[in-house]
Amino acid sequence: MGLTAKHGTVQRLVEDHYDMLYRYAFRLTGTAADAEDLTQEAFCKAHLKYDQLRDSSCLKAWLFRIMRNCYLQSARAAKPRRFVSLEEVGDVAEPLPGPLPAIDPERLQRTLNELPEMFRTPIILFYFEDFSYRDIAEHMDLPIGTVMSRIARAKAHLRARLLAPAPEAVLAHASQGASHGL
Amino acid sequence: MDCDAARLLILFLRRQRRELDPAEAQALDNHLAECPECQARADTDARLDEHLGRTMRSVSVPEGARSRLVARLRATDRWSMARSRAAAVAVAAALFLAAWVGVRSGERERVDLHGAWVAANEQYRSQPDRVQAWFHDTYRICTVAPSGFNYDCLVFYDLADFQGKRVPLLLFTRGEANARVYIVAQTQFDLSDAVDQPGYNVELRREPGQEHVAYVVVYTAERLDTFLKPAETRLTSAAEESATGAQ
Repeated sequence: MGLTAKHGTVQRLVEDHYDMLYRYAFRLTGTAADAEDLTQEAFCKAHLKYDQLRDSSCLKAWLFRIMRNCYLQSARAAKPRRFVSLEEVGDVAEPLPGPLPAIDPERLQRTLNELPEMFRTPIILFYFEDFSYRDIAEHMDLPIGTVMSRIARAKAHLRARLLAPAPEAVLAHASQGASHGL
Repeated sequence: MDCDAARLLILFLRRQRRELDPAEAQALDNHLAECPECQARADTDARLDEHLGRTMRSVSVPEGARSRLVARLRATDRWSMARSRAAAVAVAAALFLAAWVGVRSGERERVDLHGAWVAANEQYRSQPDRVQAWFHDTYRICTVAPSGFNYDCLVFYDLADFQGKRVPLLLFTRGEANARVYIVAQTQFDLSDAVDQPGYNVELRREPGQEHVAYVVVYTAERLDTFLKPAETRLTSAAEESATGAQ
């Protein structure tokens, strides 16, 4: 493929997929600057390797995979971080009383940053909705059962951190119930 | 289906995607129709996912990010194009020069057996400083020859291909065994990620104070020690080096 034609194709890739990849990069890295750098790096790699893409129907998965590889490379080079352990997290969320609390986007990002990448990637893709469990498993080269289990644990962690009612809300709800004779 | 099984499936249920096995999905639907508690739990679960998912996806893309990327890709293309043209010009110039030299001389160079003998003997048993000087004089390469080897076994050194790059190679022989030492630099390779290959006669060696290089040693002897300085000699050299450093 000539350089101009190749450039045209990659420019279309940017137009069609930039936003989604940037969002993924933002949720992986946690900052706008890092997300932009990571997205640029991923597209530059895609630009260089575009001729290696055999099946254009796999384009989105291919781009996401390049981005994850770029992220893992940069994460390996960076200073090791401490992550939370998900051993203690329960699997099932209890029904919540009343309306759901608003989620502070910064708090969501902080909570995501606490998760090791092996949990962070699948939960991000799960909530992006464009990826089935099977897609996520292929993206991470893992058995589908492992992916489903990691997503369930990461989900429980996010819910516990972000959506668990404050103790006073539970008390208020209980006393409201009591005042209604429940 | 009982409540425990239903609650486990609720965990993985994505209503908009229907990813569960059809038979399991049907059994779950039947259970939910009859069990208000599990139905409430499934509703809560769906509400929570919807709520979290909306926040997860709400990332605004910075203005200009896309155009910055397109500009960078264009610059890469221009650079690639310029590089291709420069390479084509260089090849054409080299061909022209070769043809011109061929016409001028009218004959190819003779094999110089005496020169070959002298060059080979000059390398035989060279010490590390001589090896380093040779690479510098011949190729303008600053390299660091490994200090732990027994240079009485050194028979040859030159640049060699190593995983797509040209790197200094030192060949040590002892009896029928040999050891090839590739000097790999941090500027060419990621030296942090090499994984040991137990059971194979290959090692990645490092030396104190030389973090920017490593030595990939492929050998045919049973132990690499065959090509190393005896421990006593190494200790003496280390002591001498530290004494020299202290002065």
